[in-house]
Amino acid sequence: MRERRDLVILAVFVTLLLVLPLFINSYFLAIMILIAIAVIGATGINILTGYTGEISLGHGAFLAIGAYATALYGKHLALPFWLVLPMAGLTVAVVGCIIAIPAIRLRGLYLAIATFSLQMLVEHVFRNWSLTGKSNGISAPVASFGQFEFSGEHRFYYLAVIVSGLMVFFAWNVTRSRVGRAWLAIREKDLAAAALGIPITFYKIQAYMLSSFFAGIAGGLMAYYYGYVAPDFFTLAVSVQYLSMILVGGLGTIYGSVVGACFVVLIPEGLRLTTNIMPKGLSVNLLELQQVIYGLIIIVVILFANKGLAGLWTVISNHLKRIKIVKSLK
Amino acid sequence: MEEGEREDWREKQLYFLQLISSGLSLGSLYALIGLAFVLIYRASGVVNFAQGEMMMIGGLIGFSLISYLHIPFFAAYLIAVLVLFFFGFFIERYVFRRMRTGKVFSAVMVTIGLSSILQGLSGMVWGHEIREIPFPAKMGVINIWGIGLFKLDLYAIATTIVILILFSVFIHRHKLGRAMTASSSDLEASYLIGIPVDFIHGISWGVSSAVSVIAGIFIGSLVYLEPTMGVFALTAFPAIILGGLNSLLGAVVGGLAMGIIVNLAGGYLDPYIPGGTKEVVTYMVLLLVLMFRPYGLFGQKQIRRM
Repeated sequence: MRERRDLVILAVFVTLLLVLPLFINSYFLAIMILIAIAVIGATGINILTGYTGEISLGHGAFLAIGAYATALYGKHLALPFWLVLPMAGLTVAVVGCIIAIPAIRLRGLYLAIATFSLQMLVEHVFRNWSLTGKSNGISAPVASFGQFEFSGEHRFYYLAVIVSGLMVFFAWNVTRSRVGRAWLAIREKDLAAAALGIPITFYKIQAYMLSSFFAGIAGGLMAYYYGYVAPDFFTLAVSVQYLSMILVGGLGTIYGSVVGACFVVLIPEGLRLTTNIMPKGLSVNLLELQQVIYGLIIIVVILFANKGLAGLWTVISNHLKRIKIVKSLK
Repeated sequence: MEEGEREDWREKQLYFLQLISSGLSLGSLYALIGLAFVLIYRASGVVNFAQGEMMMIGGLIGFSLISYLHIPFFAAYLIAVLVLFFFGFFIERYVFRRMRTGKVFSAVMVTIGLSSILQGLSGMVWGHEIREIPFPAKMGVINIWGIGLFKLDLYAIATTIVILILFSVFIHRHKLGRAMTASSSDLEASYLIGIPVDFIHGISWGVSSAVSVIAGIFIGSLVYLEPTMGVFALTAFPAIILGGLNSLLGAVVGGLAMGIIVNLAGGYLDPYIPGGTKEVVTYMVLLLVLMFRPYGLFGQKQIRRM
C-alpha cells in the first residue's frame, strides 16, 4: 500500500519534471539545470561524507578535475559526448582512488585539513598549467548526439535531468544494498565494523571512488553547459557549498541531497527576488548578504535540526501522526 | 678573479640570510595565529575555521576606533582585544557549548558558517577598501650583519615569544590551565571532580580570539587589512599541523619553520616552476606531514581505543 503510494508520487514528480519546460522561461530552466547538476554532486559527497563519514573539503577539486577532463577529452581526442562523460567520471574515480589511499589513514579534523589542502593544491595547478588555460580556463565542446546538439536551455534541461535522475537512482540502489549498509556501519563506528568482518579499507576506497565518479559526471555536465571551464568555478567556497547542501538536506539520505541541492542553489535566486522587491534605500550588496545567510542557515540547521530538512520532515510527520492518535483516543 | 668569486659568494649568502629573516617574520605571524588555534583545540577539540575572521574583525574595530574616534593606537587595540575576548566567550557560551558532545564534523561546519557570516557582515559594514593599520614606529629598519630587519618584524617575533611563555606558564603552572588540560582529556571526569569546565572553555575561546586580534594587528600593519584577509589564517593550518595540533611550542616552531620554508621555496624554486610555489608549498609540506607524522613534530600521539 505504502509502496504504491510512493510510486504514484514518484510518477507525478517525474511527469512534472518532464513537462516543466513547457511552462517556465529559460531563466528558470537555467536554474533547474544548475539544480540537476548540483544534485549529482551533492549525492556524490553524501556517499562519502554522509554515508561513510569521511569529511571532505575537497569536493570542488573533484568537480574541477571532471570538468577539465571533459573539456580536454572533447577537444583534443575529439570523442563524442556519450563517451566523454563516463570517461571523465572514471578519470576522477581513479584520482579519487589514488587520494583515498593516504586519506583513509586520517580521520576527523586531520582529514578535513588534508582535503582542504588538496582543494588548494588542485586549484593552484589548474590556475597555472598552460594545458588548462591558466586563469582564463579552456573552452569545452558542445554536447551532441550524432547530428542532434544539446544546445539551448530546453534541450540541455532534458539531458541534465535524465543524467541526474539516472545517477540518483543508481545511488539510491547502491546505498540500500550491502555496500550502503557497510558504509553506514563504518560511519557509526569503524572499529566495530571491522570487528564484524567488514573490510573497512575496501569499502572506504569504494566510497571515495564512487563519490568522485559522481563529482566527475557533475563537473562534466557543468563543462558542457557553460561551454567553458575556469578555475573560478571550483574554489574552496564551492566545496563548502556542497558540504552545506548535504548538511541542510540531511546527511546519509539520498533525498536529503536532492532537497539540499535545491535549497542551496535557490538561496541566491531567492535573495535576488527579495532584494528587487525591497525599497531602494535598503539595497545591500547581494554577495555579502548571501554569505551571511549561508552561514546562518548552516549554524541554525546544525544547532536545531541536525538531521537536516529531510530529518525535519520525519519529525513533523511523526508529530502529526501522534496528534492523530491522541485525537482518536479521545 | 678570486675577489669577484668571493663577492659573488657573499651576495648569495646575503640573499639566503635575507630569505631566512623574512621567513622568520612571516613565520611569527603563522605562529601567533597558530597559538590561537592550539588554545581552542586544547580546550575543546575544535579547529576554528573562523579564527581568521575574528582576527579581521578585531583589526577593523581597532582601525575604526583610531581613524574615526581618534583614540591612540594602543588604547584602541586594547579595546579591540577586549571586545573580541567577549565575542569569543559568548560564541562559546551560546553556540559551541551546545555541541560539545556532537561530532567534529558539525563543529567544523559551524565555524565555517561563522566565518561566512563574519566576512559578509564586515563587508557590509566596512566595505572592501584596502587599509593599513597605522602601527607606531613602523618604518624603522635595523641593520644586523648587512641584513635589513624591519622593527615591526622584530616586534612580531618578540610578541610571539612573550605570548608563548605566558601561555606555557598558564597551562602548565596555573590551576586553571591544568584544569583545561584535564577537561580536554576527559570531560565527564572533570565535571565530576568539580572543574568549572564551562568557564574554562569560555575563557579559552575568549583568550584565543584576543590573541588572534594581536596577530591581526601585525598582519594588518605588515600586509593589509580587508574583510577577506581571514584567508591568511587558513594558510597557517599547515604550520600548525607541522608543529602538532595540541602543542604550544609546536605552533611556534612549526610557524617559524613554515615561514622559512615558504620563503626559501619562493626564493630558489619560483624561477623554475611556472605559477610559483610560494602559495602551495605549505600545502605540500602539510600533506607530507599528514602522511608520515600526522601528530606533527611536537604533538601528542593519540592512541585509539575501542
